[in-house]
Amino acid sequence: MTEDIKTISGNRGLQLDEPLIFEQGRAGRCGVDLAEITGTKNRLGGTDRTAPIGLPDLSEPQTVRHYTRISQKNYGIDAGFYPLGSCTMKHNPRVNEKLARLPGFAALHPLQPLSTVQGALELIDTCATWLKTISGMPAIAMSPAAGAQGELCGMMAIRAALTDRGDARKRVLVPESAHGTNPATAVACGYAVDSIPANERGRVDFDAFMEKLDGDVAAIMLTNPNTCGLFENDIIRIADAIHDAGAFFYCDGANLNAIMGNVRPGDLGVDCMHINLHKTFSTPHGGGGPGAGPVVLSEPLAAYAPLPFVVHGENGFDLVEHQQGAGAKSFGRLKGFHGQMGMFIRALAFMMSHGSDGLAQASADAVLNANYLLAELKDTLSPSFEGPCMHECLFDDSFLKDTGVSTLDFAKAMIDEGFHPMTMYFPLVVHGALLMEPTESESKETLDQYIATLKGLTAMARAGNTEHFQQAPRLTPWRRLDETTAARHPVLRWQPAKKEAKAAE
Amino acid sequence: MLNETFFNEFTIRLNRPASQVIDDLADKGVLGGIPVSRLYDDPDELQNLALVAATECTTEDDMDALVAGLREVL
Repeated sequence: MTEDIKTISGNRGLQLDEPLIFEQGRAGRCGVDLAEITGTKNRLGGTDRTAPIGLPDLSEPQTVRHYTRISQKNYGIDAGFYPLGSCTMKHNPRVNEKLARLPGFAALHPLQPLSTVQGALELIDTCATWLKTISGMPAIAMSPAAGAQGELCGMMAIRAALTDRGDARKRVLVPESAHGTNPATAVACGYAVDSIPANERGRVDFDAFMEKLDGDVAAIMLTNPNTCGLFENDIIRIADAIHDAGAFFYCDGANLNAIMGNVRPGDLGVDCMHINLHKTFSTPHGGGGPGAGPVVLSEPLAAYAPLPFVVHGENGFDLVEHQQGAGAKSFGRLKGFHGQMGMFIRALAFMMSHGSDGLAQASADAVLNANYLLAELKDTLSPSFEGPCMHECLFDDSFLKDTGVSTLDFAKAMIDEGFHPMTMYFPLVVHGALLMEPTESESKETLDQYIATLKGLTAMARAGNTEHFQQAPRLTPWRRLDETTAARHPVLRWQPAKKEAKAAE
Repeated sequence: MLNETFFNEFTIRLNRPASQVIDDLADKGVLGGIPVSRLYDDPDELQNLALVAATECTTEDDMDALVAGLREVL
């Protein structure tokens, strides 16, 4: 077996063992030689550096190799299948990248005179128009930086609207299967969270919802399709009941890729919804950002949207950066500047290159791909709910019962097979969840290889080859990391060996 | 100049609203800084202030163009 081969160097073929950059530094080694500066006055006001700050000294070729080698250890959507459920890891079309790099966009400063950035403001406005049209909503806040900040934006708008009408309320209803950011957002906005159970079909239990709904409920936060990959059939009844109770309907738009171009959330009675441009509209993510989370708003919430925003002025596009006086209802600023401009360019490129028919087709293909996985795997793995799914399919771990293999072990074995694992242990409503979202990007050949791999691994687990799973991954630069120690005693920055020994005592 | 010491940017007081001066500079092809009034909610008392920054990408020609532009428009 490959894993038993030990090399002298620590390298594994062309997979090179790479130490931290700090461990490679040697004092006095130099990449760039700059001339001494003369003839200027020191204006640092006594804040000059007084001692070395401990950056490693490396030559240019060492530095280039270091970053090339660590970049080769990345696994991303450009390298292979990435079925991470609830994350919509779709292909990032290269035309988006080309347009985002146009110097007229890439070299802008967000605070340039407005006369010099009319094209950029028009792009934000056009992107906003497409998003409002797709969602069937009258207003939008473009500035939120990502989905969770979009949730915060939406809930702050709801709170501002309720406060404005002198009707401060105390509770927010959140289904059990929700993304963890939903209850976190409600609490951050000062609300108590009241959890709604799911029914046996994986949807919101409508009767339980009605029992919890009263005049003290500010909003419901609902994802549709939900995190089980299922369309909430009662969504219009839920929206009507919420509005009858004087509350608002927040929709988590994380799963918009399932319905884009086919269903408009505005027609379902939604009051606000964030749109993850980095999911549905193909802007790159998975490396910590940047995301972009514009929030579409209904008429009753539109006035409370955050600053700044683009408007049509007398001499072209204008930017409202301040609001004062009696009519000023905006809840203020969420973020520096106008939003994630680079993501607006990419998202608009995605929308315009697909057209409205192409967006509907992309969404339909995403649903088709997920249902293909579900149909091919339903007799091998254990689907959590009966019937077809939307853009992602959910399984629980009952197919691994009595094998000694856990969902985690199974996922680690998938890494040795060259696949990024699906989402594990989420949503929490099923035991040992495995949530798969193939998106529209994947070919049938890729899906078939993935299906064959999962079937093969399941057969190995059932045949009692437990060791194979518990030892996985074997073929990665690092094996299983000590996640418990990492959580309890996180080491967040490198320090020279001597100090490290001291800290360990 | 308002601050005698600084890292990468400093504030200057102009003899008229900074937004006008910066717009006039833009007409001459110079991005001359940021009116401080864009950064704060109460812009009136700050309206003549401009924030000017330089980076490692700023060339001597850029700096000369800013100085020449300011001489012209002020």
